[in-house]
Amino acid sequence: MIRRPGGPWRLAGKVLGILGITVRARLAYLGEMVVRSLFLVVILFVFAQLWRATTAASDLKASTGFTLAQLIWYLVFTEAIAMSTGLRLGEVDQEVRSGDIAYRLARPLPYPMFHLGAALGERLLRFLVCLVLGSVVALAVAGPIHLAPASVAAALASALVAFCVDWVWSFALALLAFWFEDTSGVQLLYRRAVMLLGGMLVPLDAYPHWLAAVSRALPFKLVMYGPARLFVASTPAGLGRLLAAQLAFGAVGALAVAVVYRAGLRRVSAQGG
Amino acid sequence: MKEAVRVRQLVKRYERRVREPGMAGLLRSWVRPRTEAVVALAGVDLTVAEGESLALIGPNGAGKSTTVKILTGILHPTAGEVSVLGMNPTVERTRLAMNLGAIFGQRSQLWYHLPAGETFDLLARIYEIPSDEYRRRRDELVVRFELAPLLGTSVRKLSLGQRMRCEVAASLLHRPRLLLLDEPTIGLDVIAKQQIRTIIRELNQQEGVSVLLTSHDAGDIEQLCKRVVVINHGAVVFEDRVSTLKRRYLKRKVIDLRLREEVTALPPLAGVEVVKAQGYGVKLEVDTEASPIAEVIAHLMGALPIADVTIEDPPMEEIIAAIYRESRRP
Repeated sequence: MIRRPGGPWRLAGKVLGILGITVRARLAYLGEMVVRSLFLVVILFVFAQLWRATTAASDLKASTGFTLAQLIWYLVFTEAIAMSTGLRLGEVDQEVRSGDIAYRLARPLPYPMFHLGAALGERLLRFLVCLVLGSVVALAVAGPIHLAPASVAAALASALVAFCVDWVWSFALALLAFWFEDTSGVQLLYRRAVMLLGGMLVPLDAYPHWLAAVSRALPFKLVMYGPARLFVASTPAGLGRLLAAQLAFGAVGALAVAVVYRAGLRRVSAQGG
Repeated sequence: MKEAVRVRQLVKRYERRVREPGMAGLLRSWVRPRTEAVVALAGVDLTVAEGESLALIGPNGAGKSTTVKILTGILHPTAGEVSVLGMNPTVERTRLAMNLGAIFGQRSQLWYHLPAGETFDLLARIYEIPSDEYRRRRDELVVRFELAPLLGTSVRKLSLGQRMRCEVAASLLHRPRLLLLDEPTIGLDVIAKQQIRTIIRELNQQEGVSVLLTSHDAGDIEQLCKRVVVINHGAVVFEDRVSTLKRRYLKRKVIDLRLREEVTALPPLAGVEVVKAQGYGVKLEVDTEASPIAEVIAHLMGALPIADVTIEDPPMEEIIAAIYRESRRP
């Protein structure tokens, strides 16, 4: 009997299966992941001191709209997002260069969907580890702030969507490996744009006016600033708008993936493995 | 006769960028990129009947991998007709993948840091096997491959032989109708090789799974396949039974003699060469075109005090090397 692949729910199940097994595989090295995340402690400590000095010199709340403690908790969330970025994108380069992509294509699971599951599994686990570790440091250096459960839930939901959106764009760039073989340069540019224009170190509200205007006009804020701002806000107001913007940005990215992937596959099919 | 694989006049051509060596060559390639046409396959015909086990062999760069990639739908042919399990791989790659099993000796599908059982569960999901059917099949394969003590151990802690047994079982969970084997025993020791070959042979015979094997290991070819296709420079240079291949290219035989007493000199005979002579044992290589084997044996029996004699074919590797050499001649 000839087996036929099922519909979208089956596909979603396969992606979740990859996600689950990636988490379990990474849990085998949880200690290593925690040690790697310890860098977060250094970053948070340095920035806490920096913000403390800034507060002493000027009215931080007036210029940014955030208290010192809020800024440090904001940084915990953005750093957790930034540090959870996996190293998997180099794998696409590697698989295209070595021809190993052929072995992945021989399975009844679309190549991008395999990487989506694996990237999300890895990222969610790292994010949680960083968030827990960062929260411990923030409690120690800045003390607790009022975190509204609805805001935290909204922040986590939008972070999850942000991971998908971020992956979609990163993967679209990684697929350029079909033509350029090494995409680490363009990946680095994208990553830096997300960090600097996405409000990783400080909220966009603290940027100079012209830079804040530019950053607000660009979509990178949807990956870090948007979810982190919800995390420290007292209400989940703005979640709907943020999710809509994220989904729109993600949809454009998904279209880019589809176009680049199809063209890349055609290139492989035509040029040989 | 139903066909699992049918390939007719398969052609694959592509352009490859070429660059002269050195810095100047690099700069020239930027200004004026040059390409050359590569003919990977030049009209290959291939048939694998349902339940048959066929070896596709050839030297590196002969076109084996290109053929296999076209069969799985990863590469699209420039011309020709391809049908695998009644499907066109170019347009039905995912559907075909649901019905293919693939074992690549140099690449693992098992998750390295987890027990093999976890990969089995994942594959059940990827191949959309209903859970009760999956459990039955898994238990059956666990018994057949003696995997029970291995399933709970991380793959990285398994020996290569144990890992390969798990790999083969993983590839069979979804009951593929065609099994593509690419160097399935590479790097294994003699016992592990034997185990893998036995398992694949049994599967082929008991479940009727069609097998397409590519391997450089003559033992794999001899023990797993009845028919062989030799490909070189993108064209089929030999296609027949493995036994015919051996007969046709078997121009030499090895005779092992055990003598009743030590002999200092052997009677000279055209086409017979002494490979080794030590004590009561003598090993001879015979060119059967120069002297038929029956004549040589009769001559030796009359001239020497023979206690025992065995006649062997030369190793399969030599036969394959002879075909490659022959196909290289203009």
